[in-house]
Parts: sequence; C-alpha cells; structure tokens
Amino acid sequence: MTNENTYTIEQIKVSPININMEDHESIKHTISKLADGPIKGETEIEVFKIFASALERRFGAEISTFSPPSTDYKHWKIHLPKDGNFDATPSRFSVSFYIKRNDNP
Amino acid sequence: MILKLTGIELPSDADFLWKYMSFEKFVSLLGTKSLYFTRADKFEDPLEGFTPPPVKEHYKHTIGDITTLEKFQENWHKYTLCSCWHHATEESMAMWEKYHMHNNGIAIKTTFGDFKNCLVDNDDVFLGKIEYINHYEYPITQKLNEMSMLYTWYFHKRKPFEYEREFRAIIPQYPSSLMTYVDNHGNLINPDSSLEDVEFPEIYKTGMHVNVDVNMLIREVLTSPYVDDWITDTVKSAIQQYGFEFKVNRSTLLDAPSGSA
Repeated sequence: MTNENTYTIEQIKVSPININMEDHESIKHTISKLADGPIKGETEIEVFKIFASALERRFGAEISTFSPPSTDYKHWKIHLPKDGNFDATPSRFSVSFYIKRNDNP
Repeated sequence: MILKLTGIELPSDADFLWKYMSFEKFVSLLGTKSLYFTRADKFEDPLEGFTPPPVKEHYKHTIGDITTLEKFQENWHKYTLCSCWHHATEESMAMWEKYHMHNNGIAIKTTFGDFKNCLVDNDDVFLGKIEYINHYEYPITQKLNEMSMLYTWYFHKRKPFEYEREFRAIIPQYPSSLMTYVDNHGNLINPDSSLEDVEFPEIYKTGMHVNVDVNMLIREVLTSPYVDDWITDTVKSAIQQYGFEFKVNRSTLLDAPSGSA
C-alpha cells in the first residue's frame, strides 16, 4: 500500500550557461510544458527524481545533477548539460523550482 | 549563490588571494573566460574531504554505518569541484616552488570581494578558508552539531599543509539519482540503506569550467621570478590579444639587491 500525494512544480527559473538566447527560450518553453500538471509521489524527493528523469529524457542528457535543496525542502535546483554530457561542451543550464504538495480533496 | 558552512571562516573582502598556474592555463582562463574547478579526488592529499576518525566515532549513532559514510565520501569527491587559492598579502616563494613555476609560471592576484563578484554562473558555491587540523586528534566541539558531514571536511586539511594558506571555493553537484541519500547540509539521510545496488556515475572527467568576469577577477598578474623578461612581455601580449588590460610584472623575489654588482 502506498501513500501517494499529488505535487506540482512551480516558480520555474532557467539559468543558461553558454547558451544563446534563442535556445534559452526554447529550453524554457520545453521545461514549462514538462512541468505542467500534477505529479504523484510519496515524498518531495521522489517527485524531484521523477522530474529530473523527465528532464534527462527530454533533453537527451546522460545525467543531470543537483545542488542541495533548501533547508525547507521546497526549493530545488537541477543542472543539465545542453549536449548529452557535461564534458561535451561548456553549455549547460540549471532549473530551479519549488515542489508544492497539493491538499487532498 | 554564495554559501557558507557553519564553522568555516571567510577572508575579509579586501584580503588578497593568489592563484599560481602555468602560462597555458592562464591563456585558457583568458580565452574561455572561465575558471577550472577540479574534482576533489584529483588532489594530492589522500585524506582530502574525509571525516576525521574522532568525529566519526563521536557521531556513529547518528551517522549510522561508518562504512556507508566512507563509501559515500570516497565517491562524493568526484562530485565536489574545487578552485584553490593562496590567501596572503604578498606572493609566496613556496607557491612558486610548489607548482614548479620555474619556466612559465603565472600568479594572478585578486581580492576575496572581487572573487565573490566575478562568479557569473549562478552556481551554488561554498567558500571558505582551509582550517589546518590534526586529522586523528580532531577535538569534538559543540559546533559540529550544525556541520555538514560531507562538505565541511573539504575545508580541512592536515597541519603539514598549513604553508599553503589555502582558500577554497567548492561547487557540489551530485547525480540526481543520488538525491535520496543527502540533505541540504550534505548529511546522509538514509545512512543505513544498503549501498550494494547504488551506482556512482561519472559526471566530469577531471572538472568543470565555471564562467567568470575576468576583468573583475584579475587585479594584477605576476610572472615567475625565474623567467626572463621576454616571457613577461609574451604574457602582456597574450593579455592584449584577448582584449584585456591588466597590470603585469615579473616577480622580483630573486632579484639581486639594488646597487649590487
């Protein structure tokens, strides 16, 4: 028996590193669509991992990384390489966001 | 975002920091406008980043299985990226020697305040002065309760390294798949879980370039006291070619006293 809750990804901010403005806008748009809608999970950590996996798949990244979440476990940051892996080019971007637990109806 | 760990000291904004490097790495800094942050497991000190044994013993009830902590720390090193600087008012003969800067050495000089402001990538960066300790007789103090068991030890080295007077910036970036195991303070939150199936994937071969505002970073450039003047001129020329203007001087540490024959 699981104890799943519903969460939403909110207040997304994309920070580009060595990425031009056009690609930056495209990345932002893609991430907004990915984060649209509720995500089910038992904990914020599980939701984080689900979202990270979705980002990796969508951007063809071998791996994504995280910086430690904020103390309250609500603010998170994921880093992704723009071209497959971090050693390929210095182009990367970070996605910071909040995970909000929705009240049960 | 600049981050500070409990118990780790910061320099004053006006304090000078020095970085000694080869001419090739200096040109790379100018060309890429980035500082290279090296994986912690690439450093010479084999105890780099490891928790002192007295601390592990003291906290074994909260840390959980010590073997688990050690396995994590061993693997965590490759996810902890460091930029190391010498914290001193003046250049250091020991540093010129340590980095074998006889033929093509460069030292760049900045201040702690400028270093903080030159980082432009929005990475989360921990900053601090290295505290030199006796690794095997580390005193247990109350402040440890707030410390991170994983990050803090990157700001500690053994006393024989004290001459380095090191200041360090670290950027921890861990694989998202390992989120289950670490909290905001870098402490294990699932320490008793089995690690048999945990993978520690590679992210960077040796490190990562972090973009910097070079004009903000570099206050002055020194060439090694061993080099001839033409090398100093070559450094000046390279700086101009990349469109920068920095004060460049050859170190005079080994110059004969003025007036001598």
